[in-house]
Amino acid sequence: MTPRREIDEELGQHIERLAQHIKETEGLDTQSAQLEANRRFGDRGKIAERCAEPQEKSAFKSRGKRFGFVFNEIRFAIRNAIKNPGFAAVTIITLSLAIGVTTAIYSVFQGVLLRPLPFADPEQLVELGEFNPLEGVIPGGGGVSRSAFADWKERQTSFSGITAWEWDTSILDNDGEVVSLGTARTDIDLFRVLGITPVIGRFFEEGDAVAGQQPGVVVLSFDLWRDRFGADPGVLGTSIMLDGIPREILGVMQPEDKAPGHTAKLWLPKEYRRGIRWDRHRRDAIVYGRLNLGVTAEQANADLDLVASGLEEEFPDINENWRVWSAPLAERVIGDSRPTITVAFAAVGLLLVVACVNIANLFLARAAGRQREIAVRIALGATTGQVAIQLLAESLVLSLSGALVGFLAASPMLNGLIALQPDIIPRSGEIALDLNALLFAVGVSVVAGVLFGLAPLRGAFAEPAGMAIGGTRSVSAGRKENRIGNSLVVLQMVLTVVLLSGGALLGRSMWALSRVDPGFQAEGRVAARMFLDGSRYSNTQQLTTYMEGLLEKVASLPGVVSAGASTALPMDPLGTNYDLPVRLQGVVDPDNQLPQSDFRLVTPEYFNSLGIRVVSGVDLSGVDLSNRKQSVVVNQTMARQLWGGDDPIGASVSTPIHDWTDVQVVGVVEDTHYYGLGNDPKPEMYASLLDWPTTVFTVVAEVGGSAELSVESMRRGLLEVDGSQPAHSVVVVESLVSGSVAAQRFYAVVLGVFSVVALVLSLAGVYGVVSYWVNRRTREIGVRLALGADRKKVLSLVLGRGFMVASAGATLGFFLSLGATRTIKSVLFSVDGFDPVSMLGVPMVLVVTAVGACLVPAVKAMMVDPVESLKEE
Amino acid sequence: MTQKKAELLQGTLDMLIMKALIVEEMHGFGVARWIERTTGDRLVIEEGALYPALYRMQRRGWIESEWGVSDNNRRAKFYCLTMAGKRELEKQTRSWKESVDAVGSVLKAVNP
Repeated sequence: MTPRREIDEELGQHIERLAQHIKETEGLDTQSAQLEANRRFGDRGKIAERCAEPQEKSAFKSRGKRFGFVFNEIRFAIRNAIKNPGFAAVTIITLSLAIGVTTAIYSVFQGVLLRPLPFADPEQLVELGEFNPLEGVIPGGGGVSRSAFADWKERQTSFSGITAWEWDTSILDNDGEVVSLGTARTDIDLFRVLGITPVIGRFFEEGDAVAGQQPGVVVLSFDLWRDRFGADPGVLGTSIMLDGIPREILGVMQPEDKAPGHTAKLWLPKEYRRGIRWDRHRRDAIVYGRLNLGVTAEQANADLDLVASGLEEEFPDINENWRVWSAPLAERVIGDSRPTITVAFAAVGLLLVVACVNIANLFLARAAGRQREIAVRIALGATTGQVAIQLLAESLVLSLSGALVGFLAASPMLNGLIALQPDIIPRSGEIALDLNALLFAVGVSVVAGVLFGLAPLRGAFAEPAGMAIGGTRSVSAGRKENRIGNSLVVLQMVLTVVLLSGGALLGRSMWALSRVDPGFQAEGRVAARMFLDGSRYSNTQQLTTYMEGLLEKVASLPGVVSAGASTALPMDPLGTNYDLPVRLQGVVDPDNQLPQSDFRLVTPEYFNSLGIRVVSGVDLSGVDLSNRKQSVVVNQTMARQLWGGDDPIGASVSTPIHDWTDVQVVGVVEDTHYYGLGNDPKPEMYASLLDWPTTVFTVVAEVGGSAELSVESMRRGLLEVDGSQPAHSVVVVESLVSGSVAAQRFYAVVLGVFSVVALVLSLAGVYGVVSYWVNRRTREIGVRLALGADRKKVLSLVLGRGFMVASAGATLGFFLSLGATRTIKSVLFSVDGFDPVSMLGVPMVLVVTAVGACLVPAVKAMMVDPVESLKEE
Repeated sequence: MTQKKAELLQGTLDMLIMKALIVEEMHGFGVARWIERTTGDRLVIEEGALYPALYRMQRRGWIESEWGVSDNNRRAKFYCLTMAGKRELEKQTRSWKESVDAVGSVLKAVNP
């Protein structure tokens, strides 16, 4: 037996020579060459043992030395990745796109829509309201009157507490700086029922809401406290002037995302008690209840319905047919977004699957190319364990670098997404990257990478090594692998078709929306919302005088072409809308089923200022002052619905606002899309605001130049008319229009990004699987060419291959998207769930681009040199 | 199955080493490079695996070793083929060719 020392010497010399050799032939520096030689040589100690021992035993004995060996493998894997930059880049880009995009989108939806209610035990909370189908108030639509709420509170047995609040505005005079702020007037129990605590100070208590008490009390919003009071805890106990009355600051509310009615800047106590009989008509209160333990929402609803029945008997003229609706508060907050959430999550999931499939495919295709290399290594003495560790190291290095890039990219992608649509993502500043989603995406992609990175091993076990070395190979194994690759690509195509179809539908819907004529001119218009202090302007004369002075002032501002006012601007969510029954003169409706019309009050110049065309007759500016109060203007829809083809000019109508006395239709104006570009105009009637003045209205001005630049001069101009009545907000009218379609635009953009990413990944997938196919058949193609086959035939053979895979995916995807796109039907405008252009166009585009992606491998196949290809094997 | 394959594989490496040594006597590193060169770099020798094979073949009497001085004047262990080794090489080459032929004719076969 040879002494161990001698073996060591011999092996050492070999490694030395090998290092020298590597240094000379591969141009590495001395140190790297030394490390590489060590790596190639393998575990020296173990080899020496095997030389000394007559019986060769298990491959792995010493665990201690393996660590360095693994480290070497990782170094090698990194070098290998650098040597193969194309493959490495595609893998890393796929992974980072998938992880980055899916995490960013998921985070947005998580942050906006799925954030749990910021209240204690939110599952116990319900919102309650009154509804009456006969008056067109549907469940979920109506609030509760103050008196009814007081009755409910007294008589209900199912809730540990019910509470109410209402929207209002107040004017804050902060050392001469006057601003109009949105406020919430709340029942003193609101905070207790919801389970919120103040940041500092306290909330309301019994006795705080007594009317006329001086000084009053107020709770500040967190924003207001921070921005106007410098977050000074010393403000507690001091007073502020609100609507001319001093109020003592009791406490500070939690930040916006944890506050009820979160856009309110101030909370004022309101006494909810039974009012005068007429008060029961004003159903303004938003009512929340916290269910008793063990009581279901249905039981509670039935309980309150009993209370409502009692009220019906008590006040038949007011409460007849008014029932109670209830809904989980969480549901109410998410509201109509549910289908969109489903779509968004489906899209996120689909994209992640497509990406993982792509990674799997990339590794599979590469495995094909390496099968021989691995077979040879095993033939020449490498153990399968060694080969497995090498493959594992390689796929881990690639997967983890992709995951790292994706991890780093997710945050900028999220910021980009938010920057894209800051106006419609509420509380966008607080959206943070969802760590769970990020880890999930990283985990899934890495597992896919590692799993499929080991694919070449399977091939190595499946075929006798002698054959692999000999150059022929098992055809069946190749086919099997190809079949997996093909089905993966088909799956990818199917999912891509679904995503693309959804994207195309939303895109077409957006395009259709953008072509809708809103019925007015939004460009170059500025609007100021006014909420006047009712105690200052308590009679009609004062109000009319103020309003006339205000319009005159605005019209004289630099650049202003014309100025008008209305109780509601189209598409303005803050407008006040009336929905009134209309009676035509001479028509007696036995069932009292009168047609309904939207009713707005406008000044004479309103139509002109907003560019609403007069279709026939005149607008209110063309009417004598003495007749103006008895004149109305209707829109085209109303004219068509009530008078058919007849000319309505001169017709008489009556409404409850006019106490059912007849008024004259003097003109017909263009329809405006009051409820957003996606919704059809409703019948509208306009009467004179100057003759029926109100404290809540919106001023609109046409300005010559940029609307943005006029916002500030408008704000200042309005304060000059009455320094104590600032505008609540001044906005550019174009923002109302874009705001009305912002949600659709956002979803179109999101799905658009998704489908483009999926398309790119799918094309890469087809390319990969066809390239792989060409590589495997280089020899076959060579033989065909040698036997005189036409090169063009080879080209079409390969393209046909791509076509087959792509069209299989496209066809299946078409059928799947027929069902899948139905889920987004509710957010589509003027496009059917089945839109032939999108639904058929998408699969066709996919097939064409997929065949295009196969051109590269096809041309490569066409250029195969028969002689070379035969020699190669 | 795995067992059988391993034997075949081991045999392949032995055969390649003996083929190298029939040309001239050389050290282990030289054997590795010779195989690489002759196959046009298509067979990459598992450097470490070479030595257990060399020692085993030595124990079986197919090759012999002797310490000498290499061309750059360094100590090196040289190997050469014995008569038994020559016979073994002939035997293995014949059986290798037979098995390649057999497999080849199966693969060339046209479906009946």
